[in-house]
Amino acid sequence: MCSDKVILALMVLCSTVAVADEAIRDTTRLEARPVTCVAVHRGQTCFKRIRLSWTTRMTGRLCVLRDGAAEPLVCWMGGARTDWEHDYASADGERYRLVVTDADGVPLDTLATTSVDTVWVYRGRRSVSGGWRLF
Amino acid sequence: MSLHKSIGTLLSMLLASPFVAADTGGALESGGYLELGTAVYAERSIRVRLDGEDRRPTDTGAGLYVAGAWRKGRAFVEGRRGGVDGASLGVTLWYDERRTLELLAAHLPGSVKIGFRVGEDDVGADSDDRDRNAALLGRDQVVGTSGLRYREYRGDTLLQASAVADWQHGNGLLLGLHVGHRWQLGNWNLQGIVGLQGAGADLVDYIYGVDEDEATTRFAAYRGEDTLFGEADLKITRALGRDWVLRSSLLVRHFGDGITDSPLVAAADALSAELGVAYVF
Repeated sequence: MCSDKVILALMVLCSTVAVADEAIRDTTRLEARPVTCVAVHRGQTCFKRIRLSWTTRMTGRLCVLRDGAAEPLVCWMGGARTDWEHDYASADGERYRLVVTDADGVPLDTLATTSVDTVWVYRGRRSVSGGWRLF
Repeated sequence: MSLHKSIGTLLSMLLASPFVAADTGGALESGGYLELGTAVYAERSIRVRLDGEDRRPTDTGAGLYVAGAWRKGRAFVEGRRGGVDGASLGVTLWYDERRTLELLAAHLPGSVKIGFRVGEDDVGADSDDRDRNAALLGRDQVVGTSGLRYREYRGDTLLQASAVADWQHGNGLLLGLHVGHRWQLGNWNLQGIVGLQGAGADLVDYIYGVDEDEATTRFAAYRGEDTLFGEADLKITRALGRDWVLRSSLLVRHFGDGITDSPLVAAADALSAELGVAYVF
């Protein structure tokens, strides 16, 4: 009984440490440059090297995640890293999250988000049976 | 300013608009776009030069690039400067998910150029030989055609068959079979087209024939014949910004005897290359 209380107390303590307070969250920034990738024809995948940069006072283990991806783009401890170059390749766009994680890499809290979108020069026309574009 | 075609580039550009913006497919979507820009070009004509037996030197220059397509329901208008495409006003007669059959009500094969008309066409029989030679080599001719175009889309491959008839001058026929494929290499877009065309004798004669009353000491009378010619076109495009594209194209054509036997022609292969930047509205 006593040990259960100790475990519970430790869990609460850990979660309190891992979750950022509002002050940290308000000053945390995650940016992507550039924020758009331009391909020629609608529906095409666009390729671009994106620079993700961040500022935060959060300590602990931090990662940048791409939504939908199983693995984080990059992880580090404390202020050891402030940017990362990512090879963007998407037809729809990508959303990134700066998160604090536990030691196993499990996200505990999202500190900031940003996104990159794909746009097309010929964006007003429907794809034809697999996407022929004639100009 | 007037729309015109020079004789030397006309038949080398004759093509029933194989891949001009027929963005139809499984459903007809109204709308369109306009592209304006500038391009530098180099063209190697098959025509003989006026002052010698060799072919003309490569023509280089810079010009306005215009392309566009617009559709409202089944009706469409499309065209572009340069390359293998022409200008068309047409109607989609039938379509399904991957096939279209279109009536080209008015179709200008080849490349429409915008420039000042030289006006050398009407040189009288009493003109001297040099003037008449110049008139034969420099005459402007526009061919207005109508016909049918069938397209079938197979993923990134496009098959096309076309048949148009010149309703302006003798109703010569122009038949075409083309295959196109496109690739995306990173943000570069490549589009390759190969095709075979058959031009009827009347059409060839209109463009490369020399009538008895036009014949000169140098250019004997010549009657055009049914002719096949092959062509290959490679286009490369890349986005430069949200509304800007870089585009380039390389077009090669090989003409058959019905054309190359003409005294106005000095070579069998024509070549043109273009590089430009365009704004897409």
